[in-house]
Amino acid sequence: MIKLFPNETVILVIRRHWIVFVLPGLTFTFLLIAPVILLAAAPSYLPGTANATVGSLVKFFYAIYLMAVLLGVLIFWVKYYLDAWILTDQRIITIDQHGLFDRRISEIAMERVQDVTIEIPSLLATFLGYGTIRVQTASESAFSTNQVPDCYRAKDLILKYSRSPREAIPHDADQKILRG
Amino acid sequence: MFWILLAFFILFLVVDAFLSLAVIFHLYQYTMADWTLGRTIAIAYAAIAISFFVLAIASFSQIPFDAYEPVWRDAIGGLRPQLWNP
Repeated sequence: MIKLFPNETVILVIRRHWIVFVLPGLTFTFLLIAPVILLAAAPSYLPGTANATVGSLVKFFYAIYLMAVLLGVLIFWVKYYLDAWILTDQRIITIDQHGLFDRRISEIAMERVQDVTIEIPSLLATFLGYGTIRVQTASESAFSTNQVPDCYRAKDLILKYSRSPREAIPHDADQKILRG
Repeated sequence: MFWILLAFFILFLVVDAFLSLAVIFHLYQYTMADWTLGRTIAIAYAAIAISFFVLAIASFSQIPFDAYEPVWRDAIGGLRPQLWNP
């Protein structure tokens, strides 16, 4: 469980824009629909498959196939869900979830933030309002995440809290989870 | 044939259960206390996966292994009759 310091408050959780779901969503939909179409058409080119004896075998493999696809969907979603930036009033926690067992967690104290850069890489990104955020720290290391929805607001919040991280900034109005 | 299919099924279940438990563990271990969506999704996933598992078990129990070979011979014979009836 990710723990916060005493008196630390989450001001924003940044996850990627919903655009990241489009291609995998189409792929998973195809993977779910394709066997149904194949099975519906099978009796015309494989007459034996209409037999009830083969039907139970096909149903068995189809159930296994659905379990595998469902697990694939879940793993993809978990990678999306756990790959996040958590902005608090004291630090930025960056979680890079590369695979199910491959994750990198970094923390940047707000007072060490020096520059925040946003980059809108394409026409589609301009229309859908997502972009890349890059945070430069005092130790010259940089952290970035891409396909961030509403990246202007995220940048403003990082700058606001990095300039006065320890001050009592009213942040109730800022509390929101950014999702695509 | 029965034992081959059973071994395949058990191997698949072991891998599937391991990965599923790993995912659910991640959803409980690497999240914040107020991220409730992950736990809801984990429960929904478990319910759907168990229903597919029950379907697989039911289908497996209905497979008539004795009648296996002739049926497949007929099925493939419909596609390439010359293979079986030269």
